[in-house]
Amino acid sequence: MEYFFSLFAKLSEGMLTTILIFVLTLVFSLPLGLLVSFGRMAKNPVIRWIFTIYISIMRGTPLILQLLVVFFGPYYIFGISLSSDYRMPAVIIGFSLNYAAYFAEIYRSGIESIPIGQHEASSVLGLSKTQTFMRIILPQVIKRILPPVTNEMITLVKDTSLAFALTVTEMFTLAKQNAAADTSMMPLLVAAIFYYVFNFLVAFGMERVEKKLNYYH
Amino acid sequence: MAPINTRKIALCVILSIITFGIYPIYWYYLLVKNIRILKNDDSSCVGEMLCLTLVPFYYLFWWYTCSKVVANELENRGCTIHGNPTTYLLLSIFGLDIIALAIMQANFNSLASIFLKFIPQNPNNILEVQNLQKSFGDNTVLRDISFVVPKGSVMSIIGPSGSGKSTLLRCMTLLETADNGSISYGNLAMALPLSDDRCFYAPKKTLQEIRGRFGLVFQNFNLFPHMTVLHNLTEAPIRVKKQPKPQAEATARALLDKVGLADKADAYPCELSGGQQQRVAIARALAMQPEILFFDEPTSALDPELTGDILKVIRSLAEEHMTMVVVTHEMKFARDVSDYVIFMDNGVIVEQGDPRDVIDNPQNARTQAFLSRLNEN
Repeated sequence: MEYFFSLFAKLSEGMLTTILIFVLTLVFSLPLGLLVSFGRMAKNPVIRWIFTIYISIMRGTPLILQLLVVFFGPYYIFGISLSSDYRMPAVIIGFSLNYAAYFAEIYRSGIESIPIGQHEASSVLGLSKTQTFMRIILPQVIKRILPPVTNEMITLVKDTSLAFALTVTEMFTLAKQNAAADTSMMPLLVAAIFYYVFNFLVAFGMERVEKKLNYYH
Repeated sequence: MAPINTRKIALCVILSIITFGIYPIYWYYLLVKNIRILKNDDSSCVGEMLCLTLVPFYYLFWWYTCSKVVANELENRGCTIHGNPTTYLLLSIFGLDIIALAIMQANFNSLASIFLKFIPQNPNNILEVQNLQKSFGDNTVLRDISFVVPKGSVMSIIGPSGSGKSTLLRCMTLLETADNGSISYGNLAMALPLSDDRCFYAPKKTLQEIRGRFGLVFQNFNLFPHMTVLHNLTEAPIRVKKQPKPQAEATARALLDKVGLADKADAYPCELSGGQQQRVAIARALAMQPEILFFDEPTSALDPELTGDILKVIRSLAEEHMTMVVVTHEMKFARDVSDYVIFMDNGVIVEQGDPRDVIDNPQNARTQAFLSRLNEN
């Protein structure tokens, strides 16, 4: 039992890194996703085409490979050598770029699902395009996209373990090390508990937000 | 020469700097490459290659966007009548887009002055529409529509489905762009036929001013579901007319009282019945204090029982001499309330005049057929 609790203490250090990756990725990828979705829906065919390809590549290749490209790319492609301090930023950049693509498609589905009548009503009332988007469309989009966004957030929690590819010691890396050192399943079990509780909290929090937005249909 | 839009010029300068910003990067890689060659080290030429490949693409993209922007602006502002667009495109391709835009701006100003000089046929007319034409691809929806709406009058537009009534309303409310003809609201022209085959729209600022002159009530209400009824009414006056909040709310409450929904101010649209929602929509249009109010089949999405409430509201507005254009299938209502009726079929006005003449005693065979079929039901 003591061993069990000592594992909790050990893994919670890595848990901080995991939470950091999670929070920073959301902070960057949620707004970036909105920009990408605008690019994806742009009237200009060249811009639309560029962002379609971006989304296609980001969704079509493994995240672990993208992390490696972000980390080693600057050296192999541009000959820029970066210090090992670049590991964590590389993880955040890789995750943000990848998740922005997924969020962009979620935003797009949300924005396109708003009835055209809402745009027309705003236009007739004289609201500008920015006002229409910020005051009329976006609030309704947020309500509609919450379930798929929650889905992505939960996937993100579990994906943080991929940071080991750049030897960032997050929680799961520690769990594996301890499991190998102690030849025990216990660290993995503790890791599972950490993930489950984290995801439970994310899902619970998002459900609360959804309930809060339930004042209209 | 006409004054030049400084904001646009500034934007062009910034974009040019960004464009030329790629040059130093390119030179840097050339330098790096040369040093590598001197050192007999050819390990990483990928960056060099990437840069070499990207530069032409970057320029292609820039040229394409630039010419698109210029072409779009020309299209919007109808500069074709003043010069050849190819000149502008060529100028923009050779990086002289600032000059192109300056010339365009000059042309635009002369176009704007045509709109400024507009004089209505009769200052008493709130709305004048002349020779309006609109087609979607090969399908001609409006052929040659002309009418005027004098101040304080109520006009009904009737006709079978697909006759172009809704498209006509959408052209007048800037939801669709007309192909040809003229539309004007009082002393402001919205669209003028400045060339043989098409019409040109007024500058954006004028269009925005015109938007303040009309209101539109939709068939399916289109209330904002995430806002309370009161907020639905105050949103546009606060954001567009910059009214102070207390004033906007006072006006909104007065309007809700007028349509009989004073107690629903804090309800959400989803808590209201269809008839109530439509009355809120009417109040929302009135909150912007329009000179003319358009109704696009306001009762078609409602139970027959609920249509009465809406028609009562429209009637009371007519008694206050609100100028209105109503697209409707309610013949009795059209006959009782309106001062003028237009019967449309297949994109043309088949018959028009006093409602009692047109509805009770139609002269045109098409009108007779339509009305007799309506009476059968």
